[in-house]
Amino acid sequence: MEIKTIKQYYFPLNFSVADMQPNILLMCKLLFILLCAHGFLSYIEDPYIPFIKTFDLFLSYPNIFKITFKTLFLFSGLSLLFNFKPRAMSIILGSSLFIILLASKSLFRNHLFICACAFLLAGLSNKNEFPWLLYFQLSLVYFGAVLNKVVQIDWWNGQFIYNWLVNARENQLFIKVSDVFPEMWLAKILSWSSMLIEFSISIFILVKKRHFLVAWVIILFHTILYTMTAFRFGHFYEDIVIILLIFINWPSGIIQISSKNVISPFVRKSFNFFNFSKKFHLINNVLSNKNWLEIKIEDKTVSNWHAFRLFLLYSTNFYIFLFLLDLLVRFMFNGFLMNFIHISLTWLCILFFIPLLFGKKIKKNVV
Amino acid sequence: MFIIAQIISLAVARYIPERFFCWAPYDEHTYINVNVEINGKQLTKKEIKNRYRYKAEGWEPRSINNVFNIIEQYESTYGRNDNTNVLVKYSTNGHKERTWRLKQ
Repeated sequence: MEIKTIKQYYFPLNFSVADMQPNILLMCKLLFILLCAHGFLSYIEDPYIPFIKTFDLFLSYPNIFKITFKTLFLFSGLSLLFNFKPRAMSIILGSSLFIILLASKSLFRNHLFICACAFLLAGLSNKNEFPWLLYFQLSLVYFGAVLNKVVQIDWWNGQFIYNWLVNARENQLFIKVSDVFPEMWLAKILSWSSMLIEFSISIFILVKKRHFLVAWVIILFHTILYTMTAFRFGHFYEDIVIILLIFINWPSGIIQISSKNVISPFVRKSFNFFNFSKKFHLINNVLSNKNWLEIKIEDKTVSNWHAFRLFLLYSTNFYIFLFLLDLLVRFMFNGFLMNFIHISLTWLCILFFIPLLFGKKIKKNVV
Repeated sequence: MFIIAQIISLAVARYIPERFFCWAPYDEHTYINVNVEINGKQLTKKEIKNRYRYKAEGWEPRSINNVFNIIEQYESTYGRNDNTNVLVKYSTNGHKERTWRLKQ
């Protein structure tokens, strides 16, 4: 390979690599950055109240475990960012995270465990095959969640939801709306619908035909919950939204873009500069029909807003932009303002993309 | 194997009180207040937090048995010679407050 090609290949914003699907690589990179942004590195300590008592042996050799796993986490994460053996690095990252969790009961969080699972199974998924392992994992998350709820009477009589939203969260929206309903009815409706939705998700994830719909149900379910509670359950909400990238069947070929207007050399040059994965190709000829934008994905052509939505959907830069925007808002604001901006932006995105749910779907092969 | 291990963990969780590695976030919500006494001296909330590296007071979104498990394991290993009395007052899902004491 030429030096320029090597540079392009190992550039962190390039997602066209030899052994991983672009959307899965993107998911791994975003999860790694998310963990770093939430300060996970500082949580890595020597074993403390471990699940496997053998880990306590490390206490006789202070800092060995801590330095080893901090190094492993950083090395594999950075290698993943720079596209160096992404599958192997993803497995190392997931395994390290899993071992770190096993080494401390106090550290155990579901939002960390789900990241460990995603890394590990992403690394075990072959580029040329459907990533079933990740779908099984997500199905298991929702199945586990509903199984642990249905055995509790407080999930059937609404007591959990009532206590959580009224006593713990002091959620004014819930308190006011529940006043309209007979006693505990709203809490019961929310409890039962949560269990039903989680159960449905866990089943329909395993049906390939229903993936697109399931992805929408997941994002709507969690976003409604986030809107109601202004709470992200650690970074579980972010984890789930990022993991939803597995539902996008990334097109295997180049996506051709045509426009109604003549594209200036500056715009063309800028577009090509930011086209890090070389996924898009701007066509020179202007459109002769009424459409202002057309994109050709494999043998299908779509136009105008539908085309624009798909262009964003298949653009890794778009997700990175949204992710960084979310982090920026989180670092700049807090409390009500932060949640208000986050929730507003999320619903804007949902409203913009929701026509895809009702439009004609484009079937594509896995990359 | 990894997926199968999780399925086993889900099944095992039916027979044990703790809820680790079995996808049980927010299946119960408990207000806890942990009190620790060592040789008659009461620890502050900060000291308790440092001791177990876990919250000493506040809302616990996972099973309360996870907290008991952490305390029991600490006191039977690192803190076994400390002559400790631990008392946890807790109220799960808004029910009547209950008390848990560490069995020495």
